[in-house]
Formats: sequence, C-alpha cells, structure tokens
Amino acid sequence: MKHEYNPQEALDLLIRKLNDADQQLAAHVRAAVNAGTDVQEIQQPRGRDANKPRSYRRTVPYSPEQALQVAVDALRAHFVEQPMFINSLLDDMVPASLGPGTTSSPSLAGNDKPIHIKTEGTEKAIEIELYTETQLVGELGVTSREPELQPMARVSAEEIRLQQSNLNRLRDLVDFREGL
Amino acid sequence: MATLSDLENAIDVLLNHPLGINQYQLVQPVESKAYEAYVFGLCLRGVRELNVTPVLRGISGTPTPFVFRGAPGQIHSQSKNYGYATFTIHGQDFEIHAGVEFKGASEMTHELDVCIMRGKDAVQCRDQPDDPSSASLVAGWECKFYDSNLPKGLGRAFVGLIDDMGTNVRLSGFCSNLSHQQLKLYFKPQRRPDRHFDLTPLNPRNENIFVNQIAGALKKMTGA
Repeated sequence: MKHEYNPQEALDLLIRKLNDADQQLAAHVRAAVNAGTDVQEIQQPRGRDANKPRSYRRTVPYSPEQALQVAVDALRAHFVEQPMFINSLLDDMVPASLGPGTTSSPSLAGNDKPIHIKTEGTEKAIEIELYTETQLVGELGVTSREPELQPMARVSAEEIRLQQSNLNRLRDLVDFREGL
Repeated sequence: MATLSDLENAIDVLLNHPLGINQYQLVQPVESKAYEAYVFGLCLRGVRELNVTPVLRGISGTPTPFVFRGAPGQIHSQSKNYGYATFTIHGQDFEIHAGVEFKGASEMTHELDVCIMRGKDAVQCRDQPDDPSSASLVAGWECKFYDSNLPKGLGRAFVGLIDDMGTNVRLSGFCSNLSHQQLKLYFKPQRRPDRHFDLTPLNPRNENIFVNQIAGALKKMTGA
C-alpha cells in the first residue's frame, strides 16, 4: 500500500488522537513507544583479534515504523484481549456448579445446604472489586459513594471480531514495509 | 493510496467502537485483575480435563455474583463474599483462589495471583483465621497483564517468592499476555518457575499447554 503520509506523521496523528480520547491510554502507548528495543551490535576488533567479531546488546529507540506496530499491539491488549479474558473466564465457569459458602471439607459437601437449582451449564455473574477492603480514600474522596464492585459482562463475539478487524485495518494503514 | 483522512477515520472507528475508549475507561481499573480472573478460569479448565466438575463457592455464601479481590487479601476475609473454587480428586480436596496471601517459609507473607492449595488447610484457615502456610500450596502463578514492556523485575520477584514457598509446590509459573526475550532465558533453568508467555485467548496453543500442565500435575499427585 502506498501512503500520502510518512511513519512519523502517522505516529503523531495516532498519539494526538489517543490523547484527545483518553490521556491515560495515550500515556500507556507513549511509554510503550518510548521504551525502545534491544538490538545485537557486532563490533569488529582491531589488531590481533580482527577476525573474531564480538557482539553486544544495545538499547535503541524504535523507528517510527516499529513504534507504530508497538502502539497497535498496545491497543490490541486493551481493546481485544481484555474482553476476550472475560469471555474466556465466563466460558470456563459455565460447566462449574455453584455451591454454598462452606467451612467444611468439600468431600463432605453432603453436609452443606444444597443448592436446589441446576447451576452447571449456566452463565455465572462475575464482579471484580474496585474499592478494596483496606481502602479508606477512593478516587473521589472518602465521603463519596463510589461503586465497590465492577460487573464484568460477556461481550458478543461479533463485537470482538469487528474490533479486531478495525485494528487490522489500522495496522495495514501504518505498515510501511515495501511491497505492501 | 492511503490518505491521512483514511488513517484518521480508521483511528476514530477503532476508538469509537463499543470496545474502544468507553469500554477501556470502564474496565481500566480492573484490567490486571481481569487477567488473573482469566488464569483462574484456565485452572477450572485444567480440573475439568480430569472429568471433575469444580464447585464455585463464596466465603460467606453462594457466589452470586462471584467476586474477585481487587487487592491481595486474607483467605478468611469476609469483607465481601469473595469467590473461590473447590474440587475433589481421588478423595483429596483442593481449592483454587485468586489474590490470597500465604505465609512463606520465612514467615513473611506473599500474595499469589492464582493458586491451587490443599482444601483441608484452606478450611482450617477459614475456621481459625490464619494465613495458609507455604506447605499447603500445590501450585501458584504470577499473572501479569501488560500492554507492552514487561518489567524484568517481576520475574526476579516471583523467583524469590517461590523460593520462600517451600518444597511442596508441584507447579509454579509466570503468566503474561506478553512475551519477554530476556525473561525467557531467566526462567530457563530447571528449578525456576515455568514461563507462560503469550498466554491469551489469541493464542489457544499456549492456553492448552497451560491447562494440560495443570491436569498432568494434579493427575500425578493424586494418582488419578
């Protein structure tokens, strides 16, 4: 694919748009891009050891082309992998059954009060704690009524597929390798 | 030819998708915990490989909803109805937990992101509130969700943690959705924890390796 923009312009546009949308996400992506990468350098010694080249590791900045791919990978982690984690967990919980809270050995579960509904094969509700048990002061201050738990709901596979396709479209547009 | 307008449009479509910025802002505070929850789910899958049905429970009642801790906590804490799973193989009881603190061999406490422990010891620590001892740990995993640049120090810290968990541990591993070339080398020695890099639903092959390893270890230790 030919481009009317160069890699640096594409990177600048991506970071600017991310910054406009969410400064925290933009900061994550900037940090990823600014971390650089390790390369193996080869040094040709002089004198007696001239035919014994030595290699060493050196951290160098990403090229704008590489940085664009790193940025897209970071976005994939948040926009595609995260919903897939929750869907995977929900899938893995479906075959499990729900039991009562227990203080006794599970192999003595006959002593537990039974659950009278069939729970194997059903979707389970999941929540992740936002406001932890030792936390005194939340983001909005101690007196605010902040939600304590974040429900994690299943995302449709079609939405994930669409977002993956959006990401692939962006990846293609910032791929400057010859012949593409 | 791709124009700047094409690029701008592609970025907008990505960010404005329902799984774009809005979803990110909603789940961002719990992203790392969501990854631990995902690995917890893979443990359930490993147990099911042995034709055993795990039971989801809560510390103070039926887990509806099933609550994952937002920070490391004590196994006996009833601050919320924290969830865990129980299963029995060949008469041996086990529990799977996320974010529970253990007492190391040195008496220092350590958090394990996801673990499998002996059921009897877990019950005892709930009945008579205490941190479980390192001897009760069967398997433990460090779970790290990163969007880039996995810090090397995480690997070093986990090796130190596992070193303090005694000799009963059958399985330990460092899980991440990313990979890291130098950490791969660091985890290479036989006595170090296993590395489960690129452990993500985008890579089902790595998921299968993880799940089969759990099933294999449980099968071996229970004689199933």
